[in-house]
Amino acid sequence: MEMLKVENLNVYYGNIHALKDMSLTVNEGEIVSLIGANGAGKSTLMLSIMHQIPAKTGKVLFQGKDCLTQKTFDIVKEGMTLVPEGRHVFPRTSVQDNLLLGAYYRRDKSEVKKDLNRIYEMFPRLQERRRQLAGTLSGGEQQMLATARALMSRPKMLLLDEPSMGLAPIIVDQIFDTIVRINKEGTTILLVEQNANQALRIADRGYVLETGEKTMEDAADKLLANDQIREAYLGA
Amino acid sequence: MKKIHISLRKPQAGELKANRKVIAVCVVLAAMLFICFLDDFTPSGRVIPNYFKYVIVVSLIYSVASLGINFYSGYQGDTSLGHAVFFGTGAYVTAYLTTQFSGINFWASILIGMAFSAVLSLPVAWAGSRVKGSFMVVITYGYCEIFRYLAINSNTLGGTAGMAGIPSPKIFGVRITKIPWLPSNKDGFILILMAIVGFLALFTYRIVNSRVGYALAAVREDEIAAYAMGVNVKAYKRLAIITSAVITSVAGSFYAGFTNVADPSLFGATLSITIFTMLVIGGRRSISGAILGAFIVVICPELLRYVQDLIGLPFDPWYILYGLMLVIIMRFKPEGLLGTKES
Repeated sequence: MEMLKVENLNVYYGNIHALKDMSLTVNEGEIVSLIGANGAGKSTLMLSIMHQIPAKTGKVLFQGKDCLTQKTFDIVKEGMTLVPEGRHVFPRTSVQDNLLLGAYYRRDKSEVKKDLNRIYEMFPRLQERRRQLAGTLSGGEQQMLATARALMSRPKMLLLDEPSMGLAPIIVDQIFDTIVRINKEGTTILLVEQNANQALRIADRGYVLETGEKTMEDAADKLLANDQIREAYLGA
Repeated sequence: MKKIHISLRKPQAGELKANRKVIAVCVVLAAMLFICFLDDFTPSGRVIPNYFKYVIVVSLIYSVASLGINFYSGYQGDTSLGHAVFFGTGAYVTAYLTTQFSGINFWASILIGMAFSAVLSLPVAWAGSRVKGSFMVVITYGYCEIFRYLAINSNTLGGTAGMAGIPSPKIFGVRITKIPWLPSNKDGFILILMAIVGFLALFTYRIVNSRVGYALAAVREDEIAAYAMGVNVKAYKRLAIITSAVITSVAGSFYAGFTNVADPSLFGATLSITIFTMLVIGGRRSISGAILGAFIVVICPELLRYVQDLIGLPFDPWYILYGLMLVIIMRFKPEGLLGTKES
């Protein structure tokens, strides 16, 4: 079943045509990776899916509902949450309050509590540090927190924008393990990454973006084996 | 699985300290009340000069304004140099209604002033939900100046002279300045304003520790993350400005009712900056700080006037010391006297 469908999306920054006729689909239960160099339009695509950036033409359908007519906070309520690029945790707020803010729109307190327990089970590190201010966590922990916080809204679909950015290789592995685990527990994932190798390895399907255009789409293992891709993105 | 005990509303590191602050404020307020009523207990008549009480009333009025701006410049985090708009609106609405219409009493005029301020805050709220914080300094400042010139050039509002002869408020048909069981004409104001300041402090505390408060904190710290969490950022920004305006307006109404005059300086930049510095000196996002800041900024110049007479200074040293005080506080305690430190 199609969870997210983007059709012929065109986005401009002033005169700059940032996304050209972008189309993609994400099916329920999948991990889909978007790879591409700096400035390819990956983050722009994420932000326009969440309707943070207005699109000129095109359609974004989440579970059949049009996202471009909805406000960002309504899209979150529908069940799609973004983990923004650069983590964006609330630095002067404790780890636990960050997580509770993730459940901001939910009113079912006992369920929120259960989810908090589940998150702490999944990320024991966050439990250890739950009283600490989020700004004092390491980069990897902040990424964990940002991801965990997004899970607190019980998303059906999670958009992850560059979760491995600026992190040590061993932490990156942990992050990708987490993403796979979240996916196995039933959350559909759209992943944007510069770390193409790992992103494609955990993904079911992949899209390649270049200067605002989709240049390739295929099953992830096929992309991994593709010579062009290997040369351009995988450094092999 | 190890079960972890989690309470959704747990005391935070700073909270015990905050409780101590609340107690301290209560003690200070109680002490002030005692001083005000000291006259009642001394058989020989007045011991507390009326002038002292005047200063307390003005301090309390500015405390209301300072608590008002705290919603915007404190909890929402953007700087406003235009809160005199709402102070002035409250004052002028009270002035106009109580002098022109005999049917409208002071208390009704407060409510109407609040409504007016809410309406007048809409353009600021609209702008504020669209631009980044630093631009708001210019927008609020400019907005405030517009109203000062309107007041100066309007005949109905008395032009540069403003409106005088505003009657003092009445409670149950008794003038607040002439309540028989109170020793001086300021005591009624002190009691009512203390109740209002107390109510506002409680109101602020409850809001800040609710969903709304958490959402405001999210907006303040990281707008992008707040959006991603499903917080309606623009709506909360607007809410903070409007609430702030409405509370500040109450201070303006009381100012008019107390001094019996409303003049265009109530829309002035000086007043805007004063309200803002009260909050900054006391501590942004601190309820007790906002009140303390108002008292400091009102009481210090009065004390200095006395010192000036005593040592025979040819000029008023207040503005020099005011600047110096701000520099020193910003250098050594940038979060304000009672504010909590931000890492």
